[in-house]
Amino acid sequence: MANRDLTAHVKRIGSQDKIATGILTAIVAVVMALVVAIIAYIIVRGGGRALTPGFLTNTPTDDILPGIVYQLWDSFYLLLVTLVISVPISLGAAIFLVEYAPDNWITSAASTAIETLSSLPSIVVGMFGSLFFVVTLGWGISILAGACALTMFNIPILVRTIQQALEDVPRSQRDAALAMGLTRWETTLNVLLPAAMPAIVTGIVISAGRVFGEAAALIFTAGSAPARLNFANPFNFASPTCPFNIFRPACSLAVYIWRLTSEPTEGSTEIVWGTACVLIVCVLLFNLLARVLGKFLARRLTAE
Amino acid sequence: MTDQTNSNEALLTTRNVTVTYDLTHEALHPTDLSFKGGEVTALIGPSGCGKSTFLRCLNLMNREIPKCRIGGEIFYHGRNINTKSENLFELRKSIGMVFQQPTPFRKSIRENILFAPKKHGRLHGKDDEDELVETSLKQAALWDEVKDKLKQSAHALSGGQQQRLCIARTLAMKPDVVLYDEPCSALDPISTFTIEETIRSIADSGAGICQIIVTHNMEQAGRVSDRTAFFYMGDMVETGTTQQIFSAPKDQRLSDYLTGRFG
Amino acid sequence: MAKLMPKRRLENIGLGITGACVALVAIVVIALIFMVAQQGLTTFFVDGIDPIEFLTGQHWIPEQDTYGALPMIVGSFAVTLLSTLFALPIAIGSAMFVVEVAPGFGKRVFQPFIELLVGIPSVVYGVLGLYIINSLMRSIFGEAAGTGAGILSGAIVLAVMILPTITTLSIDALRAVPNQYREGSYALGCTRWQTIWHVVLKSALPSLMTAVILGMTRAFGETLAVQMVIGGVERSMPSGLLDPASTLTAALTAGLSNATSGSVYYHALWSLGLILLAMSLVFILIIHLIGKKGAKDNG
Repeated sequence: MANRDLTAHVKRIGSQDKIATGILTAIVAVVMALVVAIIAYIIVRGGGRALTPGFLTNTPTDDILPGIVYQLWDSFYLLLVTLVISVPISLGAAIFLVEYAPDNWITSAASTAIETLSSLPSIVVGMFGSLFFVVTLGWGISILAGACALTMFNIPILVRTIQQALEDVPRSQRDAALAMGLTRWETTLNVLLPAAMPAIVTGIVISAGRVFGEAAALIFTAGSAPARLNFANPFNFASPTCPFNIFRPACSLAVYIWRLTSEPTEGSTEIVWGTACVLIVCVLLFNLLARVLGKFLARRLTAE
Repeated sequence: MTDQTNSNEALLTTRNVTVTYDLTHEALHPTDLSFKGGEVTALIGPSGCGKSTFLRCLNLMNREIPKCRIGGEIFYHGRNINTKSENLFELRKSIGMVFQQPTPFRKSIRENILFAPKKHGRLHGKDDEDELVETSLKQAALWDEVKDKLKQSAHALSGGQQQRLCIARTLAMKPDVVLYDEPCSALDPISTFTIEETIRSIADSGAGICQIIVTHNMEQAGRVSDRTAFFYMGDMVETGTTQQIFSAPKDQRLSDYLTGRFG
Repeated sequence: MAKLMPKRRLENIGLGITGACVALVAIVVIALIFMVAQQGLTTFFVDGIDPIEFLTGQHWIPEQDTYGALPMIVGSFAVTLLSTLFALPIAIGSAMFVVEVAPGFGKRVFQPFIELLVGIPSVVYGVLGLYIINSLMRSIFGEAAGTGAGILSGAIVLAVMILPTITTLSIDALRAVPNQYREGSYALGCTRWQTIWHVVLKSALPSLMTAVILGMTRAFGETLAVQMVIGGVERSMPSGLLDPASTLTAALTAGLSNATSGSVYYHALWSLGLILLAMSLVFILIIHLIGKKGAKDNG
């Protein structure tokens, strides 16, 4: 009797196991199908417009085929300015937290501050930027204010990846350098950073992808009105049409999409999908670049 | 137990040195030892006995561990170095250290040797550099194996070669004390033998370098050292010439350890 | 020979430079908290709006100087909880599959795949929601769905957005369970499912909870995607899941461009920002508490 019970039990848990595995497999299949569907849909839906000659190079006010050349430029320029500001600060902060951080309340307060920053909604960051960078510091609605807002959004991500990369360098490397009478500063610059470089570069490129698509923090800091740029005269830095002027308003691809959906105009749907397609392709390229670059640097490092 | 050697001759002397972790846990009880130039001293004992902890006091490496305190006095050339104002960077130029795992930097063999001397501003021109590379590699018995590939990555070397490179790198700083923290525990017997020969040849070279080696391998202590100190549970139990320690141990714990009752 | 800087000075310079970076970040965060609090509290201390009424008022009509934030608070919590509810089983299920059933496939294929979802910008999710989910809602629920914009659409879009966050963190949580636990369970003759359910999930619970909270933090603070699909109705309380509504973030985005700086409306918007800020601090606190409890439980 007891024996029969046991056989039944084994059978029951056996089929339970099979059913569970089946369900899990189905879930994973659905998730992967979802990812493919989302990306494929955007590319198919917007690809036609994105590939139409002129879409990438025309101005938004073009009568025949409104394009996104200003937004494309502004997106990359904003990204560049953001990285120029955020990478050094993040590097410094991460080095401090990993290498110098004295074990006291100041350090733990600082890491709590960075953690807070990472969980803040980006609109709150944008709101703060619209008052602090735009009004208090008097920069106006500008690329610089936008880049600073994006920096606040980017710093926690970067600090965490750089911290991780530095911590992954074996302790013994650090000890060996310190035991030769070198400073932590020299140790970090000459021994730890080179060893951590592949992971750091990958982290920076991945964060660049995130920054590239961020819009909420930008609307009230860099503006949402498409700028008019004059590429023919790029070095008149004070002019509001100068592409390199960091004190002029700018509208990135993501902000442009938001603006077109909230204030639709005749034919804006097609532009939205075309722009979304361009945005997605850029982000995917960042993703790919991160992987390739990381692998390449790691290989060069071990080979040399 | 106090070592009876005259402290005037000793290069390095510790008096009542203790180590506490987390402000409460005393990992090393008061320890008095002295070390002379040209001698090899082995620190032996079962794992966790405090021998490595003691070694890491001698170049104040324990200060790099958070919440770790070194107590007592450490006299180096007659001057107490366990003070707040001690210049760690100057000190570690003359007290070198070789670690358990080989730790070559991700640089070429040549750059591994020149890196620290360069940063300390010791080198004057390429001839100076070439000479330093050659002499240090020769001292570490590595020159013949690597002289044709100095530009190659140090990571391409075998484990034993990497460890000898680390010794060469340490010697390039022209230290008068070299600390070895279980330098052979990650190596095969043949590499171990080469490292031991290297240590002996440095001792016999007449350069007057004081070498201190932590090992859990009693045979190794017997092969390389002139003097031996036995640690047990955070106490320095017994010290003397290596011959004395191995042939006529006084303390029961030491003779139990030597006969393999525990280990 | 280059003249070298004394080591101690060099070390102090390093300490100074890196310390300044950390200090800068800390100061900006403090400035942010201070500024949001100062602007947000003006509503109550200068403009004379009763904070209790602000938090419990059911109507947000700036033209009539009626500022009740409850519709947005309810909206934010509704989309956050619903989206977590949708995403959680899928995320944990995928994590189980990836860690316990097919680890090789998980590392090489599934994780890079799901990371693609993280990279998709939030406006693009908004566009998808606006054109696909909303019309889907219309075709499923017909008249009842109105334009299709509403809490349910918002929650579905958010669920997709927080899916990668929860999945990735859950994968890490399950991977961190020591293999001996599994081997011990298999050695007792347990099936894989029993091992997962009774052993792995149980010991990974604190980290899984952290994963969920981080997902909720993201959902709560998500701005444009929600704003584009939820309908943006702040005037009164939503009465059902298909009703157009608004969230704190959506109301902020829509309102900030219209409000003149210094007006009561402007300050009231900052008060919404203050609520958002307070909530993200609460989420951090919860994560810390879970972490502390987990550390205590593990000895």
